[in-house]
Amino acid sequence: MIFVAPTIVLLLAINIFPLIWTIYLSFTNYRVNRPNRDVDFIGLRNYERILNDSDIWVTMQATAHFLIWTIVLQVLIGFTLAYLINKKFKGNDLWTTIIVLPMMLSPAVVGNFWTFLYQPQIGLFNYVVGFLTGADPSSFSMIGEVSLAPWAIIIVDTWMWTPFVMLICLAGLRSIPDSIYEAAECDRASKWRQFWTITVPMVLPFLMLAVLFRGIENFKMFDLVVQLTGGGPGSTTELTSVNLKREAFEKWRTGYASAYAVILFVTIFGLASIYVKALNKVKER
Amino acid sequence: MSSFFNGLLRLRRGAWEMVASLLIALGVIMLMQPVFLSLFTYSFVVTLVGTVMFIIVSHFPE
Repeated sequence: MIFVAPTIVLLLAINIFPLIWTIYLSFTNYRVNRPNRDVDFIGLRNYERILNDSDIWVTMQATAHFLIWTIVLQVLIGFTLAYLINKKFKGNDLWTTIIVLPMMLSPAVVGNFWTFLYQPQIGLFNYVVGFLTGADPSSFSMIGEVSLAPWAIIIVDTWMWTPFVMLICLAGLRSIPDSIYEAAECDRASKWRQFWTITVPMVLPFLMLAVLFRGIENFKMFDLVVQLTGGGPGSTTELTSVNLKREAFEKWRTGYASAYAVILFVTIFGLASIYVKALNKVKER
Repeated sequence: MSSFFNGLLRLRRGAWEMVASLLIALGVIMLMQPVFLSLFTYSFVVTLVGTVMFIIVSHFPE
């Protein structure tokens, strides 16, 4: 008991206490920039305001768009890359290292250099799109146009985090014993059938784990978006965590922001519960 | 289907976890759907009920 005591104390101080304090603040009109003002208990009024706010509703939709597309793209590309890298060929290790590089960079650095890549006048991204499609590179701005900005952050997040999904899938692929494929070969199962009846089911728990990690991370995506678009143009790319930060540290509505954080916490917790249950079922199979 | 209702009546984990999971999923869809603001308004209640229910029913017998 004495050996785990420091860990428990740290856990209580860093995780449990702030959570309980946030829940308490969510029922008050506390503002952290006015510490001397009386704090009133206002019941569920903060929750009522948030859940009737059409701006927050739009923010949730932007988050859903970001979340769904990043997960779909990262799973598809990550699994494909893992499948290809798993084949034995010359320079396999070098390619793995090169592919994994973006994941090792700081999100602030990635956001910063992608703003240069997205520059309409000098950006490489615009140049490549212009080269491939014949469009004028300076005729569109990925982070300045309402219709393109949501896709700009999706592209960057996919570029940065696909290697993570790839690594997890690669671990899954390498855990499949060769004997299973050999037995399938003996039964004259085609490559296509082997893929759907051996590879996919055995990698599925790993893939689900990757989706869980990326889903939770992307639900609270902050740094990359702030660096890249700052939530703009307008509030097109203002995801929930960016919006939450504005409420808490720009408008200084601490009680309101706490209620907002509790709503996000319950949503993520609920989703993670279902997901862990599904993961256990897949593992049992 | 009847085994599902039997599970509900006999307070079995599987059936109740299914109900809780459906409530959570419904709450999240309501939270992020772009059609009705009223659904967004009630989304948190649905997700919260589902999440609390999930925590409770995960202690039910199999």
